[in-house]
Amino acid sequence: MANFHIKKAMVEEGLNRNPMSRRILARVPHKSYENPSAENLSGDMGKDTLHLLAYKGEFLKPCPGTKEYICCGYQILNVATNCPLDCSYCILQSYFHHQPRLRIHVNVEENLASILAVIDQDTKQMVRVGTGEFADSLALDPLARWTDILMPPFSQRKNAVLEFKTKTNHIEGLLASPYRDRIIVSWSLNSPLICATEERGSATLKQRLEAARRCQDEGFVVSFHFDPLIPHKGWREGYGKTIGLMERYLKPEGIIWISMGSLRFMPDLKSIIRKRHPGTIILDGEFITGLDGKARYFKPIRVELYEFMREHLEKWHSDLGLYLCMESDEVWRKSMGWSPGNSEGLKDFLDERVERIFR
Amino acid sequence: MIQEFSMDRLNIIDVLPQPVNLNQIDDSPGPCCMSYGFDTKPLADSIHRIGLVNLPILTRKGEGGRRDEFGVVAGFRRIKALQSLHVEPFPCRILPDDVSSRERLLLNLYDNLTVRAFNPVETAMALTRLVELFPPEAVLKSFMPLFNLPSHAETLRLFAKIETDFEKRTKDLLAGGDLSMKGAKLLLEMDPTARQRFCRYFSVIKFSRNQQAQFIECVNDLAHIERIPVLELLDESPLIEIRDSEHLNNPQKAKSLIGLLRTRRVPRLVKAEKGFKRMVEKLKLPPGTHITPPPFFEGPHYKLEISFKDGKDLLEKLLAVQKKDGLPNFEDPWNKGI
Repeated sequence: MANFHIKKAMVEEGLNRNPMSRRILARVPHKSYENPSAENLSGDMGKDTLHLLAYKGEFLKPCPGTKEYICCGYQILNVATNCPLDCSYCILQSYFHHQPRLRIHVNVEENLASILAVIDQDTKQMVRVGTGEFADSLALDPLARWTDILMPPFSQRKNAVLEFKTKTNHIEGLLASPYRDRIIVSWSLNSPLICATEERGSATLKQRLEAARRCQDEGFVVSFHFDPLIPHKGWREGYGKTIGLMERYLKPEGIIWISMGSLRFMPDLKSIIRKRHPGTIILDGEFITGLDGKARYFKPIRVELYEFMREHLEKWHSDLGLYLCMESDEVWRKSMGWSPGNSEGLKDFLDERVERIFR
Repeated sequence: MIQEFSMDRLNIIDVLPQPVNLNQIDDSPGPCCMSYGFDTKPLADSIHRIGLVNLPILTRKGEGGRRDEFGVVAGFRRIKALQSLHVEPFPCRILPDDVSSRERLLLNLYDNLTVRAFNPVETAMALTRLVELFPPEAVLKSFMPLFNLPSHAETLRLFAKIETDFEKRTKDLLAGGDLSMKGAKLLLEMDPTARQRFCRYFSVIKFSRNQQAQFIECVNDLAHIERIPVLELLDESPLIEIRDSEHLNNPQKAKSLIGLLRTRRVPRLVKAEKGFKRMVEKLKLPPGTHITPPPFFEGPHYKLEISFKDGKDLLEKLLAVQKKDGLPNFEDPWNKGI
């Protein structure tokens, strides 16, 4: 059930007859059309307005990690930018500050061959692809039906996996598809308090876990992302409760990985957060300037967060593929008890899990 | 691009100087003025020594007005300097009536740009006036580079807000260099009363650019975290005591205020910094030997710095460091429960 409403649709010139545009427009109820060049934005950041356009750049790009911290070597499939959900900590608020509206790249189908060609050029190289970096992978899937477009070709490739990362329970497209192989359905999780107060428009924690259980029951491999972890009053109890719910709802053997990352942001985002989410608690922590120029929690706080999560998740199951997103070798060692050493090492760790789970 | 907005019909040199008395000139700065927070004394000294080099440019007052009354197009500071010297009449160039508002503004802009730097308030005034008369695209592309500014709409909006939102006191501080642009940007996000309260601090204490931003951010963050109004926080006695202290000098005041706020805002980091300091003191390193932590303890490596006269001196210091009993236990301060 969506907690957001699309009021308007805008289609760039020449794209009215595009098959994806037509499918999307047919599914938008009570829409009114506007010229995309119009300056007036309905609602905040145009979150209630679809903007259908042809993306001119490269669809498949490496995740913009930084050399100072260990990165997982993920590839982003840029099918859309911006998100109808409104999480207070969302980096997209500053990334796409000047590109508002829910931008759907309706030329993805006609570019699919070239996207797959990149994956096929070296079949020995495992490519982990996700659509959930610049948008929620499934929030707009009932309209865009990326699941129909992307699942068949990815399912047929042995050197790739496609991860749909979401905070919704929009799994109808997934369940309707006969494809399961090489598809990972992933949920971003947090403590009950953060889910309820800082992730506006998202499915509740329980709804997310119910959707995950349904996907597991239907034969999907699932993953989870505790990112951003946010220390707040009672965070131990809060995150402990979420892990407890995971235990109740999920089969740990079907989880390919669980990532953890703590809140980090470019300094410019702070004023945007303050303006758009005046009651937020996410900026209350002890932030320092990290090696990549982003604000992040003081190191011992991060170690404490990860250590707590690792201990509790490992108590549940010893092989959950726990990893840290954008952390240093030192923090890895102190909180996880080991380290992949560098980005290449982390990529190998995750690729190996793909090989094992999708054997 | 700039030529697009040049003046084709008029060459200012062709406008012959005419003597004008002060009482004929409108005392207000006028719609073209781009001067704020200036001191007329240096200009008056210059005029006194070598005379008026660059003549003020005037325009006749509106159609219904008297033909011998003038408004200032360029040279408001010079007129003020001449006034202070009691010099009159003085020569001015009086523009023909058909010179447009755009052309008048350009005359002022180029007349000023060539001889002086604009302070941020003046830049804001100039950009606001330009936006009123030229398309925004032209202001971004053609005029902002003249002020060494990037052609970004965001930057233009920032300066427009400085012109429209800042009160006189805040403008005075910004024009005088007592408020940095970074600080100004942060203050723009606050309500006028809170801004004024910050200005009470900035008019007394000269913070460095970074300190000023840190001070504003700390106060703002603490107000959110502790759920108290900014005004209340800035009026707390420990802060006011530091601000108004007669025993502390300016850098001490700035440092003490930041220190006080940081202890509340980042208590664990401050505790680690103090713990680290104590650990280093306990080591009793030889003179000229220093250990520094990575910034914010984020990187993995501490740094040992030794200054020495010659090889023998270095060897002695290295041996002295090697003999320190506490070294094997030297680690991140929080590991010791500090």
